Amino acid sequence: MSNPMLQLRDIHKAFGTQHVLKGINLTVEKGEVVVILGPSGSGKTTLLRTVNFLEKADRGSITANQFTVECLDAKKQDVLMLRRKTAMVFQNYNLFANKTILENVMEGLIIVKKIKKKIAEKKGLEVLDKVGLADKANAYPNQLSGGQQQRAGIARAILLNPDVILFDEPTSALDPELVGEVLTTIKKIAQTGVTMVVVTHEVSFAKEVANRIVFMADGNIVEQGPPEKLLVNPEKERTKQFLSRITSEKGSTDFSN
Amino acid sequence: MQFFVDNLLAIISVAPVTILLAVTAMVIGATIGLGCAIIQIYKLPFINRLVSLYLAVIRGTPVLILMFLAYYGIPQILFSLAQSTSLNISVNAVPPIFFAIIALSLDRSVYLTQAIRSAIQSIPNGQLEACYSVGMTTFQAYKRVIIPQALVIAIPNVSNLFLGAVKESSLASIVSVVEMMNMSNIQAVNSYRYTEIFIIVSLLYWGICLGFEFIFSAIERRLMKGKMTV
Repeated sequence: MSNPMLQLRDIHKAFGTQHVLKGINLTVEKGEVVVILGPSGSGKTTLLRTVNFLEKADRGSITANQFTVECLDAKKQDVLMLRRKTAMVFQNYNLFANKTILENVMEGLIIVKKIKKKIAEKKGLEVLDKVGLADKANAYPNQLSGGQQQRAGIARAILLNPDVILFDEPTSALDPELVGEVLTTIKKIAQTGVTMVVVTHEVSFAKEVANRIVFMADGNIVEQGPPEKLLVNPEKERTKQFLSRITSEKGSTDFSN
Repeated sequence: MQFFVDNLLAIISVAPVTILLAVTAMVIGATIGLGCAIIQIYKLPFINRLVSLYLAVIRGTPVLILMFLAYYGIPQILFSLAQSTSLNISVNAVPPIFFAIIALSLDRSVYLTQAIRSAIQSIPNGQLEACYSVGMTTFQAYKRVIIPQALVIAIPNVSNLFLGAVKESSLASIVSVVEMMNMSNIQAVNSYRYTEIFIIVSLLYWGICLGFEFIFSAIERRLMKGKMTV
């Protein structure tokens, strides 16, 4: 436990009177894949968004690879620095609609990392090949299926070589048929040793890819542990409730098939 | 027929002035409009209120009056400025087209503010968030992602405003700018054939507008190609 890549301390966030995060502490080691599970409205996505300041936390501090930002008096430069240490994969892909797939993945390299266009192009094509989109390099986002768009979103994130990649429900907006290709891609990335924090509803995926599962409810971390422990033999009542509901839902869909 | 051709050529010879008026008014107006739009979107304290006041005042003033105010007002301001600072400013050297451009620019700027603001606000917030997530600054995000997308959306409105500028530029004739309208007046007074001449000039305005309409829709089609989700 000596080399935390990401450390959140006492993160609080309220929208108006609604207290969404009630003091979250979370440490993610280098190379670890942490999956955050929890019911809707438990604050998972908000937590993820506070990490790169898409939401500004009301209290607490964030450390990414030894760079600490106090949320309350974060300066513009600090926020920028933090964002450059992280990358995010969005639920709705959020590819730049006015740019081709290749331009999408190169954009960060050229504009943020100031890498020469030729080199960026080469690296961009490499990473697109890795996610199986080499032939779509010159297509625009709206010419791609949801699964392809999300794979491009993943390519955009990993090309920046961030310390942590944040996945915000990467498969929630996808057709069931397309979920598989995206999950396979994420799994492949996870095996390369990148530190990842994933918010998802895919329990079976969490079981396969996570080193640790964090279960959140009502703005708190209820319990966390390795998947084989947390999914099979959870300690807290709230976790059991959630898991039984999910597995029973699974059961019912299995029946209808 | 000879009459038609002669007058047509005479009026066409000053068509560049009309186009110059419209284009410069749109360019200056768009620059002011972009600034005002961003101030309004980010609700910058205090300046935001000034911008709202500016928009309300200019929108509520006929262009003809703006034209007169610029033509008569600016020289007076410059004159008193010259007296109080004992600088050697002379307004006589300023061609009247300068005042016409100011008036038209102010008028176009308020409508362009609305067109640009609504276009920027129609871009999903996720686009900006994606920019932030890869580490861009707000300025970089606007320059590389938000504005290019907003422009495509704004084109139909901008195209309308441009055609409006072409037609409103005829008001510059009142402050002695020799553009198409003024030239028609001159020709009409000389020949006493008002109706014919105004038919000729209206055909010319129509032709110019049609041309620009064509150009704008070509630009739009080109920019839209494959790029935007409907």
